[in-house]
Amino acid sequence: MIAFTSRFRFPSDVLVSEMDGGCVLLNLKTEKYFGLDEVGFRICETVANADSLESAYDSLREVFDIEPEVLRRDIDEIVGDLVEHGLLETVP
Amino acid sequence: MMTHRTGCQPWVDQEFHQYHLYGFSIRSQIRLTFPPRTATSSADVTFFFASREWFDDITADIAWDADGNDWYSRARCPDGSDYLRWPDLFQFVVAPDGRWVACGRLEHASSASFETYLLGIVLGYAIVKQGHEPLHATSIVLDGKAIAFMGASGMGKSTLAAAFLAAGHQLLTDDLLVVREINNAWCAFPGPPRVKLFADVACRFLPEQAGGMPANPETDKLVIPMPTRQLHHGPAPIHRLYVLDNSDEGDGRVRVCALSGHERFLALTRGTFNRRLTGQKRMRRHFMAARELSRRIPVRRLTYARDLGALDRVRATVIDDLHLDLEAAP
Repeated sequence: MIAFTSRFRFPSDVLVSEMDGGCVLLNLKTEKYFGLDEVGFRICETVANADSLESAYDSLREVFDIEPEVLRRDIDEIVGDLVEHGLLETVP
Repeated sequence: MMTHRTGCQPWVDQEFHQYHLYGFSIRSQIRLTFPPRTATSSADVTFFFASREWFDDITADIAWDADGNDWYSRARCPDGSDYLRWPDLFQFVVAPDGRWVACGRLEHASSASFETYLLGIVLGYAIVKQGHEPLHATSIVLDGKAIAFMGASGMGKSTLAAAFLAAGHQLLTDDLLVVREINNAWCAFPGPPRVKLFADVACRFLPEQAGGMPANPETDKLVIPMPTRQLHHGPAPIHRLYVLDNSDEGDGRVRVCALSGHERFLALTRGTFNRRLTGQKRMRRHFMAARELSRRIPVRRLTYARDLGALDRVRATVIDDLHLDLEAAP
């Protein structure tokens, strides 16, 4: 489980390009490409621009009409995947 | 004038021929199987013969590429050039800046296979090293517009192109596609005047040209020279890219569907002709190029069962898709 008090950002060696709502990310260190659909990108971008994961969650609750616990679990899963692949990092 | 470790200048006083491929001018000490152009003083890439001793010397301190997925070996030389070797067939060194290629033909290589790989994978390295991003695609021209079929090896790019050639359309390039912007239009450039097909495909769609040489000793694919009337000789505006998909639903239907923005982008990254040259600089450029192309050129997914008998319907579906687009255009 990710700590929702944590703050995240895109690492400097990750390129991000939004395309029609979704996005493509390239990790220059691993040289791997990733794609996110519109929902995934919205979550990723909100998290990367928020002061904390909790703050991102609050913003995304305004956007997505789903059960709060489902949203929290989805955020945890997506952020966990992105961190695992080096596409998001915690801000110290 | 290029020199190398033995101090020999291998291309002095040797005859060179001029060619034009993929939008690049090539000076070649190797006489290729299609007519040369009028010689000019400059070239984007130079091909020259080099001796075994030259290769032995230049590859003395090399670091082998750990990627063993391809059937050729690659190593980076200390000066940044790339050594490429197909065992018992041929070996090449591509300059650090992609401006020259040293060529060595070994015991078991035919002329056809040597030329195929020189003008494909090897020239592809030179093109990438010169800062361009070729695609793994085959392109034909309909009504002056180029369309291209992208997909991994074995997905049927050339076979589908043969179905279009059989209907009287023209080949632009097979397997390696260079797309560049000219006067604000994205254009595809002609490749070598040949297509690589299995014998049964060639017999079915191009019976008059079905005789050809094997592309290499490990495959039954033939290198089929194309007659002038079936070639498009200059650049053509690129109208659409089709990503070939064989995951049909078993109903025999041919499907064309649009891709979302990020799907187009990823399809173009997967469609790169050269996956072996990496490093941050190249990856960054590759990312930017794929992004630009995905914004400027329509990309569709084309799904059909791999059945030679169905290719006429696939061709008709693609043509309908193109005409619908042209009708919808302002």
